[in-house]
Amino acid sequence: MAWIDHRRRSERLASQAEACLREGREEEARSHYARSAKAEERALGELDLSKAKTYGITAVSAASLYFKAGKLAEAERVAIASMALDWLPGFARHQLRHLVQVARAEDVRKGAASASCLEKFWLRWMAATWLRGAHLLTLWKR
Amino acid sequence: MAVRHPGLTPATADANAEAASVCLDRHHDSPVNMDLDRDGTATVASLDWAKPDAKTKRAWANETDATEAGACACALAAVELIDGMLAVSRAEVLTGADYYIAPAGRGMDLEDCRRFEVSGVDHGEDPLIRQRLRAKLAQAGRGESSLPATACVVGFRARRILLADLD
Repeated sequence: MAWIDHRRRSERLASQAEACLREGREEEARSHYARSAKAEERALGELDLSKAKTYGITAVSAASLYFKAGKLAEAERVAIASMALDWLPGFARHQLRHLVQVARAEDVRKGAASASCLEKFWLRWMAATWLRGAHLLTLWKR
Repeated sequence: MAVRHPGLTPATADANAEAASVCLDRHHDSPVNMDLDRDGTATVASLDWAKPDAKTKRAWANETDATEAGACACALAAVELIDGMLAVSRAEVLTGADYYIAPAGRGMDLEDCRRFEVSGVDHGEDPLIRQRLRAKLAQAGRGESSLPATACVVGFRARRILLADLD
């Protein structure tokens, strides 16, 4: 398949993802975004490297689609690999750098959210243990 | 529109047109004359649409989403009418997507394309629409961008579409 075929497939999947989002089907939207990102990455692989502007646009697109799919590590991987190319146009480098920052911040936010879940679990467990202990103490006193 | 614009899928073009009909129907009855302003040069274009039914209005009840998608439909129609430019690709960004536009009949790659920044204003009048255009141009011009851009703001109640370039 040529670059344009992968790109068109990616666009179709991204617009399907948007339709799912509008209807509140977020999980399905993420799955479409993930497939769209993969198609976009395949498009990158097929691209003539003399087309720097097209490459930059496609790289930003692939990383953004991975981000929308919730695949932060993949978004960062595509962005960093593309930024390593010294001929990458300035606009793409700028957008990819911003994307990496946002992806890392999102990663930290998700980590913090799961840590607070653990905290909640630990507090619940402690509370249950304390209650069990108090109950046993009451029984023993009887 | 999807037939002429290679960067639009039929589903996206239909969804955008549907959203535009909901936005226009909030303020007007079809048809209306829209004032198009391209760098200070004014044109008038007639716009007609099918009246959206209750189901369509419910589907586009989120005003922000409807305004954004509806603005895309009107903006792409305007840039095609005035500049002969077509959407050749989506411009994926962190939230939502804009488009890349190029003259009709250009090659399959994106080497000759311009970034097309679109914004919609539902209630605001001319000063707000102009302010939004300035903000869009500033946004397109920020941060080492070597990409030429065209910004377009669609005012649904004001019946105004402004277009300007950032080179």
